[in-house]
Amino acid sequence: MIRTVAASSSEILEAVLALSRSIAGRTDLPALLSGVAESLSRVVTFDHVGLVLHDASENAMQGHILNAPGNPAIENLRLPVDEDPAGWVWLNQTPLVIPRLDSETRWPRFVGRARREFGITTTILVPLTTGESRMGAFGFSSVAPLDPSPAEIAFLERVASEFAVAVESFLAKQAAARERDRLRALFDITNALVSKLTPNKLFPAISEQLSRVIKHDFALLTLRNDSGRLEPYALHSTGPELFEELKEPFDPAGMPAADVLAIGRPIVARDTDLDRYPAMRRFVALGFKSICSAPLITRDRVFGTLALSRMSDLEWTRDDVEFLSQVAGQVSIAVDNSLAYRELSEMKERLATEKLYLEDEIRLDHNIGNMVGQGPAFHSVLKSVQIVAPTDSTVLILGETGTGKELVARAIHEMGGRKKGSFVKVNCAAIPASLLESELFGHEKGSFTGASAQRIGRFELAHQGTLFLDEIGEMPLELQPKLLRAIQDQEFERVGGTRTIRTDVRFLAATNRDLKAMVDENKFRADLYYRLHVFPLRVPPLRERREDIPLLTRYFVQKHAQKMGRTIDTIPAPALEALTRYDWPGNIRELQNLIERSVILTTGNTLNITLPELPENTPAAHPAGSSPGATHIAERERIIKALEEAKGQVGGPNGAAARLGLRRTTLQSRMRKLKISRQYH
Amino acid sequence: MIRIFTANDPMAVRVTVDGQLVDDYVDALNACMSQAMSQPGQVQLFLRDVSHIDERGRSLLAQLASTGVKLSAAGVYSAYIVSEICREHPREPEAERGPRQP
Repeated sequence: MIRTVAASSSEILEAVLALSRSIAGRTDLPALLSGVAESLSRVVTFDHVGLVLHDASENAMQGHILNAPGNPAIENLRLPVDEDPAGWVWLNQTPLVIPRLDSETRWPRFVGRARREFGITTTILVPLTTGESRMGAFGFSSVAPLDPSPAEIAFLERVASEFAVAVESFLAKQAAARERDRLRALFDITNALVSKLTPNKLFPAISEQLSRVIKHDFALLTLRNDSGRLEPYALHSTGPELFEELKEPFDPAGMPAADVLAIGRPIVARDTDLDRYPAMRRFVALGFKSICSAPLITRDRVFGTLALSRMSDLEWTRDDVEFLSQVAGQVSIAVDNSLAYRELSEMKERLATEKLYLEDEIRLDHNIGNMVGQGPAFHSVLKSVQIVAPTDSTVLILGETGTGKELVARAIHEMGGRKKGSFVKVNCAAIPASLLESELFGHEKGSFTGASAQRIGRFELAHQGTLFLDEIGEMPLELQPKLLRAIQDQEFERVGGTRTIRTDVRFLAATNRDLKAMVDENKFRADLYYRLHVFPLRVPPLRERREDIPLLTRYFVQKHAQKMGRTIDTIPAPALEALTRYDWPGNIRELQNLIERSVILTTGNTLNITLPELPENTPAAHPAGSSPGATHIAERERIIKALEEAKGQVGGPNGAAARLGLRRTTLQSRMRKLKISRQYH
Repeated sequence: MIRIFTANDPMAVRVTVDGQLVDDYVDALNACMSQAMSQPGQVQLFLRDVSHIDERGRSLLAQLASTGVKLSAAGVYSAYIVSEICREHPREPEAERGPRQP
């Protein structure tokens, strides 16, 4: 067998040196084997050279057999330790010679395959061991029978010890490279996870990165819902187009996923293992041979699975399972964050909608209406609002009580860039002076008796919105410096707090008092006054915009009639004239209250307006309802006048009905009632 | 808030509005009206339950009235505004818009 026995010792030495040279620098196992075969072929007779390495993860012997230098190594040779003669050599660390395989009975699987596939007669195995580790066995085999001497075996042991160093180095490099690849894949997966991709794009990216380290044909990420079913979150398949049923939540019973969810550890199922899972029959029928499923765990709760499947016979190594568990850990964090983010976004959207709804409710509840008017005074105010709204300037709204200062403030907010933020109102006169500071700036827990919890003030609530300080003239003098600082520097401290809070707020203030006079009397700080007085906007009293009274009256009539479920389609002209003449010391608020009362008292379609506050000499001082005859005469005259102006035309844009603000059918009904014909023109 | 209904009759497109004709809602109505006016036949706009009309709303109504849209309204306030607009902006002759094809 070994020709060097007959050769000189120098030839043997040269062969060993050649062996060292040939294996140095080889980076893969087949090349290493090829180098060994090539250098030994000059001194050793063999047909196959083999390297059989022990796989600690499965306690098996993995063979790498070369039948000629340069050929690819045969690697589908894997047997349990006790079924492989190389396992015996690895265990006993003793050379083993099987001169005739046909008479060997201890390892029938090995013998059967060696004889059937390779025609081997003799096999010689020596331990492949370095000083630090036992790696497996190094072997030679031949088709012709051989009978090596002890000296020849000793020579092969020496060759194996040289070779073992190279193999150990190779395995160490391979392990390092594998670790590097895994870390790189893990890094890439982590990068993909934080890349804000949608699940549909993210998961193929993860699956692709995983494929670099763990070969698979199908990947599925599922999340457990409240009913215990699994919802497919994402799937990726390079094999068959899977699966129609995986688009809907499914019951994990009868699947490895059920066990994974129960025990919270990864599970590998292959071949006969899959028979234990009846729900996997369709999966097997599609050609899948194995599955590895790992749990998604967050805060000690298993909330899903990450499963990979293979259509090949490739085994799941311990490294594969460990790596999949690591990836599942990263994916768990990302999915958990993503779900939390989704929940937060939904909540935020819900809150925004709720805010809009509540603002509408507040408007209705507090009877906050819209700016109504058409005269020059109104347009002047509107123009000022349009000018100042887009800026972020502080506006001081001046005007008598009831002129609509708050409406103007709301209009400035609505027309400005902070429309999406909150409009927060503080009525400085309505809050006791001792509580105003806490109301405006908030307080820390325990800052005063009764402060049982921290509270956010209106300034903070108005962040990125508008703060409207109504009745600013009532602001206590001692609070004014803090208010000035908050307006000027946009920063303040809560009551009892030391932390400075910064906000981004637009300030609007309103008063019906003469602030300048208050400054002169030292009742209002001059610095605050000048800070507020950036853009003073005067809202005229109603007596200065009498032309708007008819429109305002109609607006309030329609509003209150609708609210009370009444149908009022006529407002007597004399009443409108009287309302227009009146001075309205309470301004629009007074007008609105009067109209509300009138709508309550109206029983028919014509507004029964009562004007007890009006001077005796105004026509409207006599309540319209108190003298039906007079009312009928006045209405008759009004209709006739309108018909004359419309040249007898009742309907149409220029008809009498339009002129009277009535429907055509209503006017016709009145005309019948008052016995008016169309001849009046 | 605003609610706009559009009903297609063989002879006319009827647009009915509830809510407030203010701010951005004016744009919403404008879009609906443009669509309605792109169809053949008369276009009618009925302000059924409109609680407020601002300057932009008035301008749109005036523009619609001058291009032939027939305006009508319920309620003393809305009807008054519509009548004022119709007086200021008389409609174009209806003959220009033929009956709709069934």
